[in-house]
Amino acid sequence: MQKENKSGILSKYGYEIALLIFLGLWFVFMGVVSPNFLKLNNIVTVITRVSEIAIISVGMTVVVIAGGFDLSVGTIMTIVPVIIGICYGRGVNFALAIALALAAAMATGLLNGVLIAKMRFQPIIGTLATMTALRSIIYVITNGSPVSTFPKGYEKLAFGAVMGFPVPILIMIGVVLLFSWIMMATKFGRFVYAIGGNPKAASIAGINKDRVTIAVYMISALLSALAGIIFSSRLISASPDAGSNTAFDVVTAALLGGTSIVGGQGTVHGTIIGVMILNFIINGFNLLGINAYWQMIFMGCVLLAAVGYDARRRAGTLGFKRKINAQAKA
Amino acid sequence: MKNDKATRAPVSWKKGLIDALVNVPELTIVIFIVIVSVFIGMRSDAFFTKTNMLNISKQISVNGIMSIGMMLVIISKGVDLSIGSMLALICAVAGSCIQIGAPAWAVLLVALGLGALCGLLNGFLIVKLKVMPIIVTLGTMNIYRGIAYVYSGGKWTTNLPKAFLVMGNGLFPAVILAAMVVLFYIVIRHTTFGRHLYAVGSSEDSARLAGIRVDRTKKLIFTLSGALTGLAAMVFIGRTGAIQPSAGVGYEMDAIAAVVLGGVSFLGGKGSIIGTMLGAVLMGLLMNGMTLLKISANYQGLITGMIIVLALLLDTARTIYKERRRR
Repeated sequence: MQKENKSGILSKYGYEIALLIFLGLWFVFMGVVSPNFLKLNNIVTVITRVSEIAIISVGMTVVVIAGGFDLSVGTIMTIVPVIIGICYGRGVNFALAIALALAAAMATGLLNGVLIAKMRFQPIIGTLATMTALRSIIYVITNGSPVSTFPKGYEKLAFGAVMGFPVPILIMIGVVLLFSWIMMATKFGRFVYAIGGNPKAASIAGINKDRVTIAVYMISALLSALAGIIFSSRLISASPDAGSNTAFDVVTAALLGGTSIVGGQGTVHGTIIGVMILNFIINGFNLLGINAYWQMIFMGCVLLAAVGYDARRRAGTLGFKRKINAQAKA
Repeated sequence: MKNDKATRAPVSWKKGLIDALVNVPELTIVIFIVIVSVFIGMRSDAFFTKTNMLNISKQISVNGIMSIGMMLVIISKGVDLSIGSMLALICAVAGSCIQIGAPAWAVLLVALGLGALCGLLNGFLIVKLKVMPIIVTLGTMNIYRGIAYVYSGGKWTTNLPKAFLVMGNGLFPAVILAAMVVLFYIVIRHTTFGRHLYAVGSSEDSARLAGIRVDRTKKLIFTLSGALTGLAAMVFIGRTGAIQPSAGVGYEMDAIAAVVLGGVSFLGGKGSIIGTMLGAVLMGLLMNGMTLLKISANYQGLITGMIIVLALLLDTARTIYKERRRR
């Protein structure tokens, strides 16, 4: 009985365990090569800084599991603090400024969802269009210069601590737990897996596909907005060209964490492991003095490797396709 | 409403127009081009001048050449996000060839060859990994851009010899673009490859069962897209007279915009080169109009994004209209 359980855990979490072992090996390697890496200070700094990316990647995971894709996360992350800063700078009440910015983010998510669900846009193309348009709007309203009119104490969000834990890490943990719960234990979570795994079957089963799709993009937009607020409070400034590569980094992390690019598969905790691995590797690269361009190439390779592995894993279960291939070859 | 005969005639006329708009996507864009030209022409005297027309032809050429490649890819039900980065990489390598004093034809060969190689790598990864082109090229987009930076060390190259500037000046870009349009019109309409392209885009499984070597066709499509990017890179170098590793950011967006404007469907298997070129012309007119009407360049992305959304909405409307009629 116990033996069965053990092998069950291994087959269920085998991939995540492999990732964690890899992360452990990377820690050992970096600890030997660079003594600064394993210092508590470095590790806490990395995790604090990563929390924004982690929060966005939770949203992206939900979107990708639903069979979608959201390229606009980086621009939403940027436009939210820009709106807050500009509104506050013009004398608008701070709470109202935040409400306005969040409303803008929700509207973008709604637009993405409607374009994709109702207008049948391909997710990447639809969000590519909103991304391009939003980035341009950011440049128009900021005139290309950073916004830094934030109230005093705004930086407390990024640098404050509760019982010794930095606030961003606490927010990240909260988001991760909340969405792990939503995805694993609620009806909505089941619906997301269903529409990503087999949209037609989900429709026939009576799931309102369009509504779930729209909700998913709004979740992603809202989490990006949250990340944008933390990000800007860390820098006490909102730069118009921030976040241009965020969507790419986040998707790479989600895919590395075992989320399937065709939808229907993936977990929030897997994505978080993916985020941690990528960012500790990049932190290691920085300590070793490897320049940012090499890191770009490396990230591209990780993305390709992750999707390649995912495709292999899927091919094992798709007997029908293999049959056609075999027939074509014969 | 009282006179039945009088109302019936316009209704059928309207229906005929709607049918024409639905079945010939190129017609919609011609109407747009006329409207935009008349609008800009009324607002600015400089629009309908010889110099400005020449300017527009230069502006269109780089995007036009890349759009042909993007069109091939989209007809085959893929998308190539890496061409902007590929352009930067090709420019960087071509720049170092120019600096060691290579003649223009040799540099052109290097550019075409490197483009084809990058494209082939895309195609190879797509076929071997069995992953959607959009994801693979999202990866190679970063890889190519990274290599462009590493290779050039982030430095700019200026003071290019005159031989290279020729390719981007006068009527030359327009001539190259026209030659490519004719060439690919023939390739798409009158070769087996052209037929295979549409077959793979309509239904990969059927194409495979019909004996088409789908994988090879896909690799060829991406290789051609890469080679066209190489050609566009040479025109780009001639036009800007400088080489920088940050070149071509967002060019894939412009190409996608031109292609979808031209009525090429993301569902694959549909689209024409004439439509694509009209799309590129409309994009060029809009960008030129923005400059003439002194609209800030900050609005450029907003307009591109809105155009893409509009074009796709039209495409969806067309599909829904056809579906309803079939019923």
